[in-house]
Amino acid sequence: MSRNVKVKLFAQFSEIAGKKELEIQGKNVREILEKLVEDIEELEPDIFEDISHEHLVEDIIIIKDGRNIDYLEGLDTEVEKGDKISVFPVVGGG
Amino acid sequence: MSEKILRVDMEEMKIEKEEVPEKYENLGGRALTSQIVADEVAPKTHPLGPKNKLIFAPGIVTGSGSPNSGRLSAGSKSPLTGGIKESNAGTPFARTLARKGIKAIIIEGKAEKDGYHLLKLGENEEELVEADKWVGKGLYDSYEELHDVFDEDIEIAGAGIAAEMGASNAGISYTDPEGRSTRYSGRGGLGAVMASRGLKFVVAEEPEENKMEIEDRETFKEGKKKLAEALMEHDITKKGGALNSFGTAVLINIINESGGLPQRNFAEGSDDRSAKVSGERKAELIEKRGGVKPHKCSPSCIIECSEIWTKEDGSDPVGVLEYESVWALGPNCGIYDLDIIGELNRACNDLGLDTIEMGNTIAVAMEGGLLDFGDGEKALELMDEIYDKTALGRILANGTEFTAEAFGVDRVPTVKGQAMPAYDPRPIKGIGVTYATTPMGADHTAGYAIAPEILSIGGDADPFDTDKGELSKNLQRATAAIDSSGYCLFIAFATMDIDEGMEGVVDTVNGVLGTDFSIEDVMEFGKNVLETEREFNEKAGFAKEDDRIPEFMKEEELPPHDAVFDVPDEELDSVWEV
Repeated sequence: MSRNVKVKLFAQFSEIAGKKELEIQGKNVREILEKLVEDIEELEPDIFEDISHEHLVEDIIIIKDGRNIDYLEGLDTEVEKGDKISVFPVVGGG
Repeated sequence: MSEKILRVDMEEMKIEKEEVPEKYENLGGRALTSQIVADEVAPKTHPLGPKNKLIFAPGIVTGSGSPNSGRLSAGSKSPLTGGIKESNAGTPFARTLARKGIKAIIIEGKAEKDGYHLLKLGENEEELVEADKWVGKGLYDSYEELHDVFDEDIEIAGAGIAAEMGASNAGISYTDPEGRSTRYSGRGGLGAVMASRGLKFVVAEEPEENKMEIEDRETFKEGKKKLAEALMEHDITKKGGALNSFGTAVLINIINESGGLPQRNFAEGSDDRSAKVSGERKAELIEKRGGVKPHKCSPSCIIECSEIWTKEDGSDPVGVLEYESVWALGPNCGIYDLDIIGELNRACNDLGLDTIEMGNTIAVAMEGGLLDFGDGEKALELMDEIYDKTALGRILANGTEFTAEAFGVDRVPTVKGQAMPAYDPRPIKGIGVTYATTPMGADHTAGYAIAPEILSIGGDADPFDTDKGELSKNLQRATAAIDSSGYCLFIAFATMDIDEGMEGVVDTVNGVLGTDFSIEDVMEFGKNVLETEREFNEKAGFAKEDDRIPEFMKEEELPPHDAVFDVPDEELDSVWEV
């Protein structure tokens, strides 16, 4: 079953990727992000801590439909068609 | 101690230099303004009456050259909240006061005759000079003229047209490093306290010799190095980091994606159009237009999150469009156009108005039917009503709650009379606990729970968890200490994650004062400041029932999470439990 999700890149990530948004197929967040860094290799060191893709880099923020995946199932969080994944480097302000 | 407290009696037109009492020696910034207000202002006095006082105090390390140390506190009884107020700003004016050896300025009394004066702080003397010629004039032009009339090397604090009307949303404006009226003690109506005394400006000449005292230079130097290294290491505060590259409005997207960016007077928590006014978009436009980015708000800043926004042709420099301002005047009014937001912000800076309060005011006016959500042109016309001091302009300049009453609006996003900043407390509960319980009225800076709740800085906390009393309490204590130190609150992004940075803060404070405070003492210091403020508010008539989020937010579900504010009252009250 195809599960196309919208992936949005922000701040430095969209500058590195040269785009702000793309569509990726996958069944969970890990698969989506792995396909993202296959497509845009320059992003890999900013997203995954190591080549095994077991862990995300510290401080990266991944939001699935308004919820940080840290409070869902992390990289194993399942995705459905039409979901939105937002990928942020560490940001601050106020 | 050679530092002095300057007491300016506007009734007698008298200026006196006083020795610093022992109890104030180790205080600065917010700790000092709040203590003086508690000691000298009757809590029930009318904020615009003759017995209220306005205090300016640079922070403890301000003027020392330590990184990001250019902060100033203005304190008083607030016309907006009716409680104690400290409003903190980054400006070269802060450094100039500190280098002149001024620990605090106390403005008291009320001029007997109509008309305004300015307080001129010269190299060797202080005087009150007639200032009526600037009445009714915008602050951008006024500051240019003041630079022409006085020495070029001056820094200014000023009350604008809104303050002349005694308006509860009148802030105090300060010069930025280029002399523009762009830096603000925006919140709480302190400009109205200043103008109601008959004081229009404070004009401070840069001193020939730096009178700032550093008791233990070795300790200070070590601390300064540690702090600078932490700031340059952390991804948020370093050169090319988030703040430096995109400014504070880098938050627009992440708060919008989290469902907590209030839209159209807190009716929804996200809207795809918000991306049009994001920090990323703004940075692109500034580069294209030839504006300035990055920019520093005060000379010692090494984060440089500021900028100079201009019109498309590069004219009418506004200064920085902060995250809060962009949100308040933008998405919260259904406006997704940075040029309109820029013009509204310029009008606020020129009139002497707080942008957060003004944006909320326009939004409740929209809700009340005065204009449609999204109608930027009409919103700009409303600013003209304030310039013209019309009856409608006077209503609007008095802030969100006053305007809501005038237009029969019952969805009013305020706590203790002060409008909420750019985070809806329904899907981000911890910031709601801060809004509800800080003595300041709804204020995000008082205990910035967004850091752990959304940004994963200084720990992690699920924004939907309701047990946030302890988190908010600790953040409020740390913040009260930072607001007193003279450091910019943004150093906390680095010092919460890098221990040496926090050591640097404490070392520099100890170096300046010749004390041996520990990191634990810092929290105790902050606690004392909060208790002083809380006690003042209790005497002014506030009770724990005032530490609450507006009723509609407990019942009305906020899309997209359909969240309500469900933190129990007992959890809110726990912030103040001993």
